[in-house]
Amino acid sequence: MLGLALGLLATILHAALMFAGAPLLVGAAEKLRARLLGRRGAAVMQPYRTLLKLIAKVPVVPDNASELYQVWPFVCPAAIAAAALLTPGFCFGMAGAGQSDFITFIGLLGIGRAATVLAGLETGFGFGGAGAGRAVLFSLFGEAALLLVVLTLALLGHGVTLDGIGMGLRRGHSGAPISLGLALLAVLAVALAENGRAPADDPAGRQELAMVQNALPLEYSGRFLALFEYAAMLRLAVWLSLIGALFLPFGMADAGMVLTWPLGLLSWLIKLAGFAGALVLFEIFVGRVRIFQVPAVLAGATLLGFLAVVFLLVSRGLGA
Amino acid sequence: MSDPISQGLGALLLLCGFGLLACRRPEPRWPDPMIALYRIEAVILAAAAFWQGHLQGDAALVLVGCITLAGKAVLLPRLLRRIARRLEPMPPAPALSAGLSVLFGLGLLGLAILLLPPGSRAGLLSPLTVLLLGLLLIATRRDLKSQTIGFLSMENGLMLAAVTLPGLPLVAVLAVASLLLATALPVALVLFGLPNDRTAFETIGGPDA
Repeated sequence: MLGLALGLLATILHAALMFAGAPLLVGAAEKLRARLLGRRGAAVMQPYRTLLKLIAKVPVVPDNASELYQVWPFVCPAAIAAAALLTPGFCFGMAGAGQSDFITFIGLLGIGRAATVLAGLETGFGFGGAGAGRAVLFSLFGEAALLLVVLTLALLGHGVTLDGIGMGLRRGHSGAPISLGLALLAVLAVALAENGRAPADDPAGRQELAMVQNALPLEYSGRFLALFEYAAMLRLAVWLSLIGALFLPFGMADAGMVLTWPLGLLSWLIKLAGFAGALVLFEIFVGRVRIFQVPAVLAGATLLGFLAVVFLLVSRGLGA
Repeated sequence: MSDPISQGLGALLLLCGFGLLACRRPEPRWPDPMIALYRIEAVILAAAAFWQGHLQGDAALVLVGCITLAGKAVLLPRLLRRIARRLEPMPPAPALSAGLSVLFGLGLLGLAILLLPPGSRAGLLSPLTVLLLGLLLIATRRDLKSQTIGFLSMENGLMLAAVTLPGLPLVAVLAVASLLLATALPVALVLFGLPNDRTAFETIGGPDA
């Protein structure tokens, strides 16, 4: 009973931090990027201000939009919020741990992306359609890589839930660091593409011809746009937490043991800050590739996932 | 042989092999990706030799690492650049597209798994696959530079096998011999020049090279 209550409490704390802190993560990353580029940059709290400004505005609905136009802005953040509740943040064993199947997680992110893509297609304007086509093309390759990574991690961590994999990897030496490293590289490539980051897309890019993720909500304004922007911020936090929980599960707390929480929270904070810093540095030093080369990058991620599986099976002696 | 660092270096070499297959036309930002990848391969190979030398306490392997570093990471890429400058700027298109050849490469990886006995898979999978990928590169490319690099990459796979197998006698001699063999082709091309007659390429580069 106490364990259940603690799990619930941990989930509430996790959700509160995740939902409230996601814009802060983006703001801090943007600040760091500006500083590294020699600019002063907007304040760290700027994403909150942007969201508040957008919420206060009256949204303009295009004449040719269907009834579903107003539905997509709610579907997208809802799906990503559900994924956020399943992702282990500072501790394992939260209330949703049993349901945090990796493929469910991929599916929830997929629903979020589908809602964004359909929103981009909603009014039938050119840039939205182009962006939608590109986003779907990227996700096609990205999901293939991700499924291979799921296979590797499930074999390594003896579980299919995010929680189980993370705990399995934390518990002991996996015995196959090569596979883990290859899987990590594949996940990093997919995460960058899914979040519209450097090699695939430019989150700050406002040049219509080259936009992918940013092109989709171009026809949205006011609170609808705020929802899409918030969903993008939340998605970054979810992916970074996921990578931290699966590949660097050190210092993660257990929901049932309150005394481990402070260390877990601290390590979560350090991991998120470290990942955000690494992301910014990566984006500064690596430009984006041409749009039609992104599938090649993601196919490379699929290759890495495939090699991860092969090396794992070979090292376990299950080759043929 | 099956310690994680050796395996990791093997996996990196394998990735370079796939990278060579995936190389398409040169980018302005990265003019000669194949030679750069070959150089990376050489550095990985040298690292593997140093690591094995450290593990086995064998000075010969450290010597092999030094030879590899000097010969393959510095000397050979220079020779290759000199050849590449003489070749036509636009090489003929490969017989197989980059994506398809990587898929074929995955098939060769499967073949390597099937060929190797289960006990030696962990140690020999990467070298054998790099060798097969080099062969595939020679088979699918129609330009002399790619084929030369494919041949050199094959030889890297062989050297990785020689270095990672513990207790192989005469490793240092083997390394020098293989380096000489590997250098012979580019040196001959540089010294004697490329034939002006384009028909002379046909035996190497296919009918429409």
